[in-house]
Amino acid sequence: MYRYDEFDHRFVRERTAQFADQVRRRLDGTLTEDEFKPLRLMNGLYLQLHAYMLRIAIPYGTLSARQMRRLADIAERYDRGYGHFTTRQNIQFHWAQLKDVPEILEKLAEVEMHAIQTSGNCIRNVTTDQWAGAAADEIMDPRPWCELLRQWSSLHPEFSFLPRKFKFAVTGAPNDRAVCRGHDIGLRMHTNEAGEPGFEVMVGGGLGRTPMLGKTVRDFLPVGELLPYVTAIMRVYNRFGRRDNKFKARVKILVHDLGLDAFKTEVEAEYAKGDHEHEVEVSGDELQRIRAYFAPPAYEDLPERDPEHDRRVFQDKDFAQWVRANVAKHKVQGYAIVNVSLKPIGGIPGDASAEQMRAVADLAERYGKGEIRVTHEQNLVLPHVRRQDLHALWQALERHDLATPNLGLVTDIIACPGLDYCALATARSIPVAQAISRRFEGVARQDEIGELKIKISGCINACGHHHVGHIGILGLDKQGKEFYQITVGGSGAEDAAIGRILGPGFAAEEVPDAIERLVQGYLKGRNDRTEPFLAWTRRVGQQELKEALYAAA
Amino acid sequence: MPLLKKGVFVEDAWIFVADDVPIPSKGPIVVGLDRLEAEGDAIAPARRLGVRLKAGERVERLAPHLQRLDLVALEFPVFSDGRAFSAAAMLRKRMGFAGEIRATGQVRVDLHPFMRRTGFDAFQIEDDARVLRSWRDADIAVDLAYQPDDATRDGPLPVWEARRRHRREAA
Ligand code: SF4
Repeated sequence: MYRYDEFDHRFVRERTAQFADQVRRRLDGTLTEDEFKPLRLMNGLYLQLHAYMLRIAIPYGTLSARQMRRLADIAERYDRGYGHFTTRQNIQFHWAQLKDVPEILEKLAEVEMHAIQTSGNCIRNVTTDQWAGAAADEIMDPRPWCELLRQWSSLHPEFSFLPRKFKFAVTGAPNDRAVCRGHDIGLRMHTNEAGEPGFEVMVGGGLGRTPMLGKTVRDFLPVGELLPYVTAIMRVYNRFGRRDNKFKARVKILVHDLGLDAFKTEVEAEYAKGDHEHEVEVSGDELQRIRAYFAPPAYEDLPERDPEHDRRVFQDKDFAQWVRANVAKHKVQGYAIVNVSLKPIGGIPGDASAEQMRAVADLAERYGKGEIRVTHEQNLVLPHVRRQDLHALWQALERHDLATPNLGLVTDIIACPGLDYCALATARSIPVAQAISRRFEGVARQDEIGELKIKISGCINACGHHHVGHIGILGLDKQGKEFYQITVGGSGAEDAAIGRILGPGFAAEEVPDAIERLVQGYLKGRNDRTEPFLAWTRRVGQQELKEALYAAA
Repeated sequence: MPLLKKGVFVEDAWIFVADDVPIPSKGPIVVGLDRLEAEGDAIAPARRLGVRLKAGERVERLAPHLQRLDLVALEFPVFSDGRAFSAAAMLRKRMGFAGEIRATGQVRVDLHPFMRRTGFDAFQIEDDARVLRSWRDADIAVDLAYQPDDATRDGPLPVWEARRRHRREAA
């Protein structure tokens, strides 16, 4: 994991002191709320329905056990004993008091954390594959590049007052677990014919009210050119992105309005000036320094199979189910990636109690080399676990209600905070997620249905990524009543697609039945078990999908 | 309007000439971009001349006139409109402009570090007690940055450069 050096520490400390001063000026009335607003937003502090919400950056979703414990302390001391993990691989506390915020930030700074640039029209927390450095299908580790981008974008002098927020995602694997095409800039690492490392650069993805998938502006950008090249993109966007209408201000609209070719021409013309290098030049030794932090942990030489593990899988069907659903293939023999579900049946997606956070921290230390990841699907990951420890780990997770065997299954639902917390919401999302989760509670049934990603947003801002859900649910307000529009066939993976609306929406209480009908239609209509839900939606026509969704009861 | 340069409030000798007002017969003047292009050649070469750029106007248009210019005023129509940061950075670094780059419009103290680091060296501040007080109060700031500050060269030492030096010393 990356560790702050004295400079990173000083940077965050200075920033914390600066914000503490701004809070002080707000509390004593020197600053009005209007003046304070842009300042607090630069520090991740939102004013929500009931209280302030503090959003804390978890750069590329990586946490140490120590950091997780600190989050638990904050949850207990300053919130109601909970934290909420988000689709940005961040954590939010929904019940913060303004007067406590400087103290919270100080406590975070002690463990190398902060809330800088988690809101506002700037470059936000860079996200990546939650299995980075561990996944069997990984070509290159994206984390050093994420860290480089994090440093480069921190209080960037030119790009901190953009037309709108700006999000980066990076993946080092062909299976895109970072929704690269759903970001303002998506970077996919790969190699060219000569075997040199580089990025495919995708620009202009984004969900929200005008969902668009990112378009490729460079198939292959040598890794060394990353910062100069993204500087050129950012400059084109900063200069020419729309500022007259915040709903048309994301870079996706600029790419769309100019057309991909004209946008590319602008970027390449800017880049051809060639004077971005010294602004952001990163000497080889700096990259080397960062890379060293991401060296693989000390793995043991283990056999691929562990007879004891195999025996337990054979004997204990609950354990077997959890292994099947939540454990993924590691790149090192004898190790596994463990996904810790924050989606207990009927629970609030992404919520973790202080006690659960501490449990995960302890287990990460005991079984997982002290490392924890947060996923954009609002779960946690222990990326490096010995196969032989899986059973003991599973039992411990069970005790804390963290072993729901549902990763990627129908009850592993993404939901934004919605009307229960969010001032922008038009409808609730959490209760809808809970109702669907309860409806599909049975493990055998979930298994039968297979991979099915449901994503719920409480308004068109789409924080719940509903557009890229295999089933997307969007909560709207229709004459004062909550009402839910359902889309089908979206995907945030390498086969990215925006889901299609099939017809009229549903009242809240009708949603579980509607999902049930779709699932029934799928189970009846699929070729066989090897055809997942998403493939089925793509194979059959709109008509068949409609018939399933609106079938008479 | 109060003008801040190098940390002190100074007398402002420049006359900002509105587009529909005749150019006064003497004194240093700042004109709009269209007027610079149309009438620039007619202005006595010895006279001090500046131009003001609206946020949407392309800074590249100044290229043919840069030799002639002593001041470029860049506008922040609202404080959150960051286009002028790109304009300043391009003026300083790409176009090599060494004269005064002045921030006008909603020039808020919280933008100051970003402005300074992209090349602004003069700040025209709203004559409002609260805004002025905030500039005086702002003694706590981030003076460490990751990105090089070669636009002004008097800014904080960039982190990456500091690390490099650190490594050299250690070696
Ligand atoms: S999608 Fe809407 S309701 Fe949900 S968190 Fe985002 S802004 Fe709030």
